[in-house]
Amino acid sequence: MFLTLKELRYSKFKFSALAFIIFLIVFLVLFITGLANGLANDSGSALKNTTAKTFILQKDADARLNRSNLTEQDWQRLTTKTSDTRLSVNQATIQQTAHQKAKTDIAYFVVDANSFLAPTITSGHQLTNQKTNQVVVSRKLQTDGYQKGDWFKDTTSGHRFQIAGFTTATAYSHSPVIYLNAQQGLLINPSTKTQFNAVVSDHTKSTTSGYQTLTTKQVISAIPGYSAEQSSLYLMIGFLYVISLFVLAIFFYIMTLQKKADFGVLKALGAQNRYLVNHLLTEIGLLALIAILIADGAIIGISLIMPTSMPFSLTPVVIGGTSAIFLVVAVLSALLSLIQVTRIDPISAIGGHA
Amino acid sequence: MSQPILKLTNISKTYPDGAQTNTVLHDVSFEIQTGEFAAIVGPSGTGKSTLLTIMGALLHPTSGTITLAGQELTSLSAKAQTTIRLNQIGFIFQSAELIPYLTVQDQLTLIQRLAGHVDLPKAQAILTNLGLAHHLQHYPKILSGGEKQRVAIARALINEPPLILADEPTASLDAQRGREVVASIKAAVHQQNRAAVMVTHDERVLDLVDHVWQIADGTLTQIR
Repeated sequence: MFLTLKELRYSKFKFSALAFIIFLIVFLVLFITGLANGLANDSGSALKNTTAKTFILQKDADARLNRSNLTEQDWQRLTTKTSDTRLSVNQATIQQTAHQKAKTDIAYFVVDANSFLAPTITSGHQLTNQKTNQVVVSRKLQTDGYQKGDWFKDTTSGHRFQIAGFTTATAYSHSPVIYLNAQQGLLINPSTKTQFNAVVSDHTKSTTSGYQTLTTKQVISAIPGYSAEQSSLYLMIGFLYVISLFVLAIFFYIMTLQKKADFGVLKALGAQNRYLVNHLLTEIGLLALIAILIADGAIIGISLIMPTSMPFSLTPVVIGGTSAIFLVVAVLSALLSLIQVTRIDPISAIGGHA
Repeated sequence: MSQPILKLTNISKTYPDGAQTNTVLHDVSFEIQTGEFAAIVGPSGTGKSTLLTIMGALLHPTSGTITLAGQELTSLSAKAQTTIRLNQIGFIFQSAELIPYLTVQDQLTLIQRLAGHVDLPKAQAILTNLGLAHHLQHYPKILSGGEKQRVAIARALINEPPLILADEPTASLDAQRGREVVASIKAAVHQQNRAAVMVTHDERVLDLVDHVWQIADGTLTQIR
């Protein structure tokens, strides 16, 4: 620690540059992770944020809710628990009655207001199973200028609803969700009288032949665009980890090579290998820790000032996990240098090396 | 006569050189008592440095025995050799070889730390005694060659080793500074009752040492 602190203090510029590289990479990884999580939420939070565990779809639906058509007959066959409920999803556009021109893409979730799929209210009134015009919508619609009490029109059917309450920022395939009860569902899509998309259960279910039994995760992955977005973003994150491992390893290795003569002298003077290994590990560990903490602070700061329309989500657990992985990457990057240091022969100090 | 602090008996060192073996040291015997300052002279390439690395527990001889303060060094592990170097030997290298990012006083406290006991006043006293009181907080880059070498002497003395080994300590200095540095080593040896061996080809400083040995073709003979 003594040697480490003295060296960090002496070579401030060199080590600041190294810490800056770590900072930039950690910041970028956190940013892309936040984006990946944000997009994942934007794509499937309407399903993810429920207690749903199992979705039963029509056999040839390819795990896509909108490709699945189930009937009353299927319902009778598939319900085994009293909490089981049905779900219809309709993607559509709405217009605010006050400004006719602005259209917004949304997803209607036709649910039973007494089931576990009913939206949790953050402001306003609950969804009921009454035949009213009062609906609950995702808070995401607020970014499009929708307020509580506002009327909007379903562009296809022309039917008007009033916003009674907001739920959390739920979304389905990047569109805010509007929750309708079965009677309201009939108004925008009469076929929901006889057909629906999925039987949803908050229990795990065994497969029934003739149907597709899926976990919530599988259904979310099948939402169009979801897998493509997530896999390309996580590919970037994976590459960033590998790139940072190599960049740090090479940077640190060259710095170690420059100090080879010093290490030889220290060994001749009686420094054990362990002391020098600890010195290098403390050095990279300390630098990485400082850089990571600054990056964490920066990303938290940025996320606070980011507009709510930006799909970005980072939890403390994700920030902590990413930071921990980076600390490990930084320590691993020192491995090459450590091998180099243990191989330096103290004899190199004798005979001069001008 | 008391037991010599360092004793080399019939030391040989050979290196494989293709199909042949290259003999660098041939049946070398050497000893030095506490309170003595010996110089080993000879042209370069005659085994001076190899002899010093064997004395300094940096290299094992091919045959022969070496004892330092009564301890056999011939077959120690690398780790045990390192401990011997830390506690029993003070090294002075050709061009000081100070650690660039440590201040003058930290050069000494680092060695104390490695040995497990920091004593800053002692480090400062040794440096002051060598005329470096005004440089305690300075980094090596602002010191002159002679001052650097005096810091190196202080560093060699800090753990009070019984043996000091100097590898061409005047090589990078002019005649006057070189002489001052050797005089400093001599003073330390005599005042603090240590033994010192200096490898050199600088004949102008030989009047300052107690004994002179000459090495030629791997054979060592005492000439004074």
